[in-house]
Amino acid sequence: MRLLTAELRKLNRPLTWALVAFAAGFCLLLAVGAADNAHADLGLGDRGRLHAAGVADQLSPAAAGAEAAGLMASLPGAFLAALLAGGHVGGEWTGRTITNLVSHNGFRTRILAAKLVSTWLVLVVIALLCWAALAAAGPLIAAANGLPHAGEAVSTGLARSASQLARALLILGFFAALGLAAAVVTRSTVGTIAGSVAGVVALLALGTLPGWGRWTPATWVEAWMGFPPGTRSVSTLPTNFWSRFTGSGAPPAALLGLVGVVGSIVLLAGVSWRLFRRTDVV
Amino acid sequence: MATDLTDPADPTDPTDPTDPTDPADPTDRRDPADRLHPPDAAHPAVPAIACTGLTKRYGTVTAVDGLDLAVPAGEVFGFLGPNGSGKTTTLRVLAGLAAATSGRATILGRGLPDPRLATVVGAMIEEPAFYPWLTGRANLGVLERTGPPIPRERDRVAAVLDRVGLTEAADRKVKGYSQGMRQRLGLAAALLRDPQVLLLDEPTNSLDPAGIRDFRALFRALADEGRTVFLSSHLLTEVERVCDRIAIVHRGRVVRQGRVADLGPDLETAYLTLTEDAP
Repeated sequence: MRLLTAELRKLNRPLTWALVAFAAGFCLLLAVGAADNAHADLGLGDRGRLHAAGVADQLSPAAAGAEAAGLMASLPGAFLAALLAGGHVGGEWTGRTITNLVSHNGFRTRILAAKLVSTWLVLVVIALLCWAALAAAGPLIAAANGLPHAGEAVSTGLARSASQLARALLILGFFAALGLAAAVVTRSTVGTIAGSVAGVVALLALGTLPGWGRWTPATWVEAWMGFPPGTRSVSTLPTNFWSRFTGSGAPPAALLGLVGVVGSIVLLAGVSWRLFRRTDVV
Repeated sequence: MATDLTDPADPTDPTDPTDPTDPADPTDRRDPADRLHPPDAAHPAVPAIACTGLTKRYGTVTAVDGLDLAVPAGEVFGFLGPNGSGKTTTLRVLAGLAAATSGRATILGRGLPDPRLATVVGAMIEEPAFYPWLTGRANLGVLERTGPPIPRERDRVAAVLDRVGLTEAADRKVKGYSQGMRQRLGLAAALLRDPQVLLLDEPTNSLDPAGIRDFRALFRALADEGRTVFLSSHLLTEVERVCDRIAIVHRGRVVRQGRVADLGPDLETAYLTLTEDAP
């Protein structure tokens, strides 16, 4: 716990706050875009009005958590995790502070665990702050675009937000584990960012493979989060910055997604542990 | 072939890795698995640092080549050698940052690697590095929490900052520190866990003359407190002034070790002769 506290103290840094600002700003920009599209759809009759009402529901303070969770559990979150891991984990090698870490705590497994958990915690906090930003600005954005009042009950919206956020916790753990593995392999800030992003792109590419696609982590993420498969548009609030790239058709069951994502986290953490345990700290 | 000038009466046999673990200290709040106590009067035969045939290779390059070393406890020990002779690599192995390819090394009788040694060994290897966005005090605070709790002292961070003369600059961000201030902070970090053994790599690099004088006095004071200060250097005058004993290392091997006085009146000549490459 002391080690985790130390890691969290280190994260009170400009990089973290820049990522928070970027994530919240990105959420708001997408909300503005979605509301603008919905406003344009209002002229398309009942179908358009229904769509606009749906967007207004998504922008309500209670339901906005689902959107924030969806964004963080897809490409935007994966990129944020790559940047965060680059600074927080890979940066220990680039800044040569890894020698301090290892000489003050010889238990390398604990160091890795603290890095993983602290990265994950910051990603969770960013998701919550995105929710807060959307909750504050969403109703104003909807009103400014003349969208119909949200008709969804607050409890329904809250339940959706809670469910998606709970699911996103696991995906954020997966992204953090990917960043950790990239850091241990590349041992640099730039290498970690590049390795993590390359990993995510490779996973999405693997997800498009006919037949095998559904047995890859990208599809497991899709299944666990319940992202609609093959969505080609982000005209509603984008909970699908993921499945539109895999194009894998019907995703596997949520349980398979859960098992696959957990297995991927264990595998990535195991590889990191095995490498870091034996590697010289230079 | 190393010429061992160690006093035969000196109890520093590196082949006797007696476990120096003491009974539990009631003031020690650390996890029992993290505890490691220094040798006491009941275990006088345990050298602070001992290496036998220590070898470290990086691919085809042999950085340390069968190094034998015995460092008595409670002394300032100089590890002298030209650039590239294997000093830093040896320190890295001793600090647990790198694994030896072969051979054996012990600190306080414990074979390396041993993660619990982090509680009794302080290290400053090469130029010290810190988080530039944090203050000096915050950096030490983070490091203090990185390891197990430090027993016996309430504000250890303030104490070590004071000891290295950095109290006034403690609340400034490290990115604004001069190299000399970083060096002082590095020594403060090495002292943070109240170590019994200090591993210092070129500790007076970048220091001004006053800083060098302060550090020398501090090394002597630490040895007087019973701690072992193992410092690597290529500065003969520094070693001559502060060390009780030295080992001269060349091409990854110890070519001479013993008391400074035993190396003759002209240390420079002895050093150059020993480290001169054959044509």
